[in-house]
Amino acid sequence: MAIARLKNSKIAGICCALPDHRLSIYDIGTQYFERSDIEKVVKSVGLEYIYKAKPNQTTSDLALDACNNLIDGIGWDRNVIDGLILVTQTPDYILPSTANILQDKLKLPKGCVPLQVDLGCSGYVYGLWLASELISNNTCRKVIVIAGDTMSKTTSNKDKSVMMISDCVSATAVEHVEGCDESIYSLYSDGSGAENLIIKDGGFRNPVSENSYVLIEDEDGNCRTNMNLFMDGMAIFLFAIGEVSETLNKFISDFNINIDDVDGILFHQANRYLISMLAKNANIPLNKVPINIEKFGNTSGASIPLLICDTLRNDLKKKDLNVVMAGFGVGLSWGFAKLLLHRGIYTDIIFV
Amino acid sequence: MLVHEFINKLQESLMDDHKNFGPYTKLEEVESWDSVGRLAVAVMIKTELGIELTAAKLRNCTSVADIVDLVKEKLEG
Repeated sequence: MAIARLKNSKIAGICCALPDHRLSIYDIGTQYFERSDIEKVVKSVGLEYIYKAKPNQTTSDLALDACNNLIDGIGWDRNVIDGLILVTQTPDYILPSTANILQDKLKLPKGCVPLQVDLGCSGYVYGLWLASELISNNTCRKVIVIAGDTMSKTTSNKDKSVMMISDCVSATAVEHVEGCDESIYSLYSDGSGAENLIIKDGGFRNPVSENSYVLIEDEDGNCRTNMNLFMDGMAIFLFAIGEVSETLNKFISDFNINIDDVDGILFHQANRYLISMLAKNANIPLNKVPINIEKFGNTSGASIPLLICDTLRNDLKKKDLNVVMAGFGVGLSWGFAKLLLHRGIYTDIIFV
Repeated sequence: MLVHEFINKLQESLMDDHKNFGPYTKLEEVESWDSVGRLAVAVMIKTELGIELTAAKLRNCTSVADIVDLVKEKLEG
């Protein structure tokens, strides 16, 4: 397991951009399924609304708005931003990297290092870790971490197992502040679960062919093509309550984290029932576990920053918040972070 | 865990209230035996017995006894 204890990096602000297009999953689902089937999904996952990017709205479009709002909001000079990390599974192109495109569109200097990281729901923790590494090693002074996807472009409307998938892109400003509290990261991977969360065709293993677009019905009555996102919900759920849960408990005990001193445990918003099980297994009281999946759906790598902007905004006006983050998903990959969110940091949610 | 205790937990996780729920109960007669219900059963089995079942293995079960068979190595009696 990779462990990092990093000094001198501080989150200066967060902005999340949601597409201005909210849908009720009843409206989508009842076109193909009985209302009672959709009610079961709503009840078990704990969500009702998702946000869907418009056909011509890409990850970089949402990222551009989130970043511009963030950079203006915190008053950073663009000329001194020297790192840009984009964590996404839905880039604009196979190549070039969307991080390079954003460096230009955001008018960041040519000396800025752009990196694209291929992760989803665990990605915010990985992105913050990478930014903090660059800052802690004095490679960079001011880094923007962009995490998010337009995953709804990959899902089939006739697939109940991915109905909670929603679109959002977050931007987080991380900067060098001498003497800032240490942040701790612990990261994991298990590629043996790769097939449980996958888009099978369209890469170089299975190039796009006519068969890629054939709609196939599975045993549960869900229909998808090999270009659609496939999720084995049961395997992912068992992975989360197994390995993620065990390693979260280990993270808490290895670093002597006293839950009484923590203001919030921020879980990736995958499923309300799952989050409450993870909290219960770690003896975390539910009043320290904010949940907002019902409002926004599963927004992949943007879900933890969206949770901060949505549920911790008022608390952050009054005091510093000690938080633990837990991201887990595609790869399979997962990771935990413990860090301080400073009082008064800029947070915003915009609809574009 | 004893077999009858497991069957009680199974019925509980399926939120079923049939009085005669037992080994011979046909799963097609249990209203909640769908993908959501099977997930609840898989979670219970993982939590209580530490066994990780696949969706396909559970889907192939036709009676309560078939589910008991999948986990019998961890049951007593």
